[in-house]
Amino acid sequence: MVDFFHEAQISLVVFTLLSQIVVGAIWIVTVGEFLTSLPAFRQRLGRLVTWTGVPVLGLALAFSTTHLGRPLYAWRALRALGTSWVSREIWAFSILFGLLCLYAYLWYRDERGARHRRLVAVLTSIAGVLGIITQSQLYMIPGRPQWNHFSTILLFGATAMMLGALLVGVITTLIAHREAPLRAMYQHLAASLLGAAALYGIGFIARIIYLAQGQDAAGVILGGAATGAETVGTALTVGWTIVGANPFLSSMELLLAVAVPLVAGLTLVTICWHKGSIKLANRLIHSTLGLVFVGTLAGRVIFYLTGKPWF
Amino acid sequence: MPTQLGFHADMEKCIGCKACEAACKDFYRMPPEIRWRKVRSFEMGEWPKALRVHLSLACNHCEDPACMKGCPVQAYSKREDGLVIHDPTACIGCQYCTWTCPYGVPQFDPNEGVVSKCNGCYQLVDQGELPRCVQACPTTALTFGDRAEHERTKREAVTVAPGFPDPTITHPATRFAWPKKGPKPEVKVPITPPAEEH
Amino acid sequence: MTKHLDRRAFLKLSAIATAGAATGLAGGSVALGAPFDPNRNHVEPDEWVYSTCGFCGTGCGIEIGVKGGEAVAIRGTKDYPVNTGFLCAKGILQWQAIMAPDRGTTPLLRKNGQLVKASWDEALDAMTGKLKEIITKHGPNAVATYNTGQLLLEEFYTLGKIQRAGIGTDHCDSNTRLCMASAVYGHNRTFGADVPTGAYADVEETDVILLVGSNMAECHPILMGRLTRAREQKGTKLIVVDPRITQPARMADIHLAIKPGTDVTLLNAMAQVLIQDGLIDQAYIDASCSNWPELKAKLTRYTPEFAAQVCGVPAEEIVAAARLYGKAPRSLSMWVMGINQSVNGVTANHALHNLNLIQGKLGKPGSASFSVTGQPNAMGNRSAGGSSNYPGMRPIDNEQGRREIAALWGVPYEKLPAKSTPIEKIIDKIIAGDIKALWVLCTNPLLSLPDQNRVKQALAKLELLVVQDAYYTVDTNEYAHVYLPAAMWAEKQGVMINSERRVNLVQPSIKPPGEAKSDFEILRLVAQKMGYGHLVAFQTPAACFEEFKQTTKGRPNEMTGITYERLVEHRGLQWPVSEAQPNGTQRAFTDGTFFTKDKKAKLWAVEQLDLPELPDAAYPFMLNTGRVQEHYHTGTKTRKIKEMNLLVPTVYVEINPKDAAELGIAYGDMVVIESKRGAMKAKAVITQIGAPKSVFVPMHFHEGPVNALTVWAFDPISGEPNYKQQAVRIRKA
Repeated sequence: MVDFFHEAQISLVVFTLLSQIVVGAIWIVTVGEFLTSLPAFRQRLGRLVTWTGVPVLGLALAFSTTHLGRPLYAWRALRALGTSWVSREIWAFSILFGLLCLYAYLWYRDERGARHRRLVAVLTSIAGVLGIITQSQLYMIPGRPQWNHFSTILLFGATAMMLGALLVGVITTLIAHREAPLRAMYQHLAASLLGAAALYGIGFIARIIYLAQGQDAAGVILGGAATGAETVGTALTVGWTIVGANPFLSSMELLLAVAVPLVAGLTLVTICWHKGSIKLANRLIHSTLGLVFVGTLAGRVIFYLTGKPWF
Repeated sequence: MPTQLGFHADMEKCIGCKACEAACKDFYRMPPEIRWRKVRSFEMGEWPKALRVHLSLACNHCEDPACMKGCPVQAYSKREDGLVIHDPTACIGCQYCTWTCPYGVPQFDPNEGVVSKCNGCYQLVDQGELPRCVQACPTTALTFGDRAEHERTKREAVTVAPGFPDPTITHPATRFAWPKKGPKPEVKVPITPPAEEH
Repeated sequence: MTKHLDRRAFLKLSAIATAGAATGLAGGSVALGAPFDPNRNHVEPDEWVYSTCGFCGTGCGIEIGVKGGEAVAIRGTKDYPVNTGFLCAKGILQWQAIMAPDRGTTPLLRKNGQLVKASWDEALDAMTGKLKEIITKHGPNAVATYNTGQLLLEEFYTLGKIQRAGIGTDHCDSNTRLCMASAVYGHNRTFGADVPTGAYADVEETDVILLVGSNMAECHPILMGRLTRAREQKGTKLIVVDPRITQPARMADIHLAIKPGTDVTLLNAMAQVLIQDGLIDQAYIDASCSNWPELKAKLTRYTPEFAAQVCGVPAEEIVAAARLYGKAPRSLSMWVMGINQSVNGVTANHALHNLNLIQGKLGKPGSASFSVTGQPNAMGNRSAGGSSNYPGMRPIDNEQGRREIAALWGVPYEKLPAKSTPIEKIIDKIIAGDIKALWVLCTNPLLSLPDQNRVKQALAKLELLVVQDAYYTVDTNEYAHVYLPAAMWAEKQGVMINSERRVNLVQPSIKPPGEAKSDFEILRLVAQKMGYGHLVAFQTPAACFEEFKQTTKGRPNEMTGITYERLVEHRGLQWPVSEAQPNGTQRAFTDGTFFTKDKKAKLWAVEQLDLPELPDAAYPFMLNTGRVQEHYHTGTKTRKIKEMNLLVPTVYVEINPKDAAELGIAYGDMVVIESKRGAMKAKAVITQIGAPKSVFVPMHFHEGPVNALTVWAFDPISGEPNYKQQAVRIRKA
């Protein structure tokens, strides 16, 4: 069990997932800054999302240090911005955290400061984008061919969008503002969800195909065909073997992080289209967040497991 | 070409006795699981023409070290003679180098909370001596020196070895001589996994 | 008491946990700002003690690093001729085996089925009291001793004296029976004395090496290093005869992967090629060999084609190997257990000696017929009369020899037994009820003898089993009534002799743990309690060595020119070391005269004996057993070395991929291996280095004892077990 937690890099699973939820939520809220015409509703939503976002991101950052052998020295990781994606990631998320705090603070100001707030929102969103990019680049390294694939960034980005949209959705259901054009909003939510789930699905399939190539290249039991660049096949085979050894995790990912959000998105669209029950829509959003979170969690665990040392 | 010190491993002469590994362990006394030098075993071909070869590897002291580039705390440095040194006092134990290094060289020790790796016995090298693993090799399969010198003087000094990750990623300084019998570097061979787990 | 201990243990644990957490966070010696010291964990010994390695028969010179009364390092002696400073991985890390936590610190006595701590007096009284009782009731032959190749020469000598001149039993043997007995009989019957002919220097001198039944890379890595360096420097050719593609086989110029057990046929055919091609030295044969016409006649039917059919290798390769070997100006044969541990052990030794004798090269530099030993002091046992002969290499059944010894020892000639019983007969006699007591010294028969179930049955039947060993966890202790904690070689003084007859000193570097005593001291105590005090008048190993030396005067293994000081000064001396040869003798039989009556080496006309068991429909696989480089014998020492145990943590079985596919076995699967005698489990390693329908299992592991499977069959002459060929079946667990 201890081995499993170590190999699954549970610290990093939690850190990446939580930080990605927050980034996604900020993206949605930033878009909302420009779309929603109801200041009171907007404010409540903005406050609640940022109130949630600050502690969640703080928790994620704090949790990331549990991955370190010497967490007390974590601050030193800011030193190598010029060369290291780890430093860049930490810079990006530290800046994101700072901006998010500022953004959260600005929600307390009245609507007169909205222009500044919107600027900060955009900046925070950009920091989030940089966060996702640095976070993906960190894993897209030739040293671990199992991760060195465009699906990594696709999955990270799609996770952010999917979970962020659902988080904002759930918060929206909690506010239950009478004037809010809930159906329209839910339609936007459904669109984001469908788009993100589609991206996630593409990432998932691309990754499976990518890892499966290793098997063709390898020929014999584990081990790859041989030398130089061909050894990538060996690494992919190691990854593929791990996928095969954990069918539960992969099926959970496919079911809960791809199929469920697709179905939920379509259902939500249908409910809104047919002016169906808001209560039903709310319930759907709640349960979808739960299920998708579990699905992406399973996906993230298998992601780290497949990146096993291979030489 | 600047000096670039590195190891040369002759797979013809290596019998997998692991004296190199033991000499390293015995001097540096790292925990048993931390293997700065690791002898890997590979098999090529089929009975009765099969070959089991051993590959004694430690740090490859790469010309373009991915460990150093990725390290967020600048714990790595590359000396003028090409040796790549890791300073554990600067390390925070993020283990990123254990991912970026394709060769599995840096290893994390949870007890110390830091990573460690082969330092090429640079203190001995500074005194004009050879690294301890090289001194301990009873077959002279493992040697040490400038990689350009290896390319000039050895029977064979190629950058590829069975299972050894793509040398174009980090340009390792390690050079190899393949077994005299059996497949040559340019020949594709199916390779079974390391037998070290026995 | 328990509570108190628990509390202390708890406090200790929490202290460790806190310290661990603190280092985890702050980093201890690697704390931020601490000076960067790459050698932070290095332990530099205060002093280095000159000694000899305690593992294989290569006999490397070592220095034991001592710090604060503990062994903390081992290094090769730089100017020692055998290893010139090199050591194998086990050798380097063996200090961990000395410092292992399961070293015996007090004697143990079995009370109510449990081994409990006892004082030396209690334990020795229990042992000698029972021995006396058994001797009185059933005679001295109801007592047996079984020792080793790993004690020191002085201890073998003392033990030999006690068991023959004291107890007077016919039932003495040692584990050299499992290892070198066939070589000993080969030497004795061909050369007239147990004299290994060559020297390691021949490896560098020779032009071609014939390695038969030896995985030198795993079993004698330092010799393999010398061989590999010689090949590189001189282009020395290598012929390897081995059913597996071992590392030497991989390197070989010619690899003859013969069917197991067909060595004699191959060697006879090679000799026949030499005869046909005129690559023999008729003058040498006429002057120095006997029985030539018989051999020549016998060999006529050994055509390459005939051998090819028997051995399963192409005739052309046999011819090529023979010609390569015969045409070389200097040619060297080396072999180990692949030859000796077989029903064909002695016959194959003869066949090898024949091959070298008829070329007339034997005794010349680079040309030897060289059986390498497996234990660090098997040769010491053979020289000092520890098991099946009398000191000075006097055969047990030779009356004149016994009279000489009786005179030297001052005991009546009639007292000295004229027989020595191989261990398998001892086991059978225990089962038959004839032997009631067994005294086991420094060996682990429960794991090392063939057919473990039979051995268990015997051990359980004993009225007295005394186990004298460095580790109380030694497997045989399971059946012991008395356990005596022995010092290890690094804690005592004496000499060891390696394969090339090199005698070297072992010196105490640290104190034995707790109350453990050197085997020399234990033997003297037992002798005194048994009433044989007069036999062990010597107080120290040095005094014992002086007495022993006198028994070698004029003998093939003369050591009268040796003192402990001279051994260190000369970095070991190769016997005979006499007045005529004060600095030892590198090679034996250089003048073509031998120790036989007619001074000629006898060419035995031998033929291959049938294997005791061949694969059949029920047991379709041929099981081979052997060693791995990381472990030694039954693993009592090497499995205490963390690094070695990490490399090869447990038992495995090598299976060819073809068979694995048929049986649905994948790499790492647990498989059950069964023979007619027993079953064991092992992890599967799928490998191409073994032939289909053959499997290989290393011998070191008590959790997977391959000797549960091995056949109870022995060389009819030497009594050495046939470990290398038996039929088994395999299935996925």
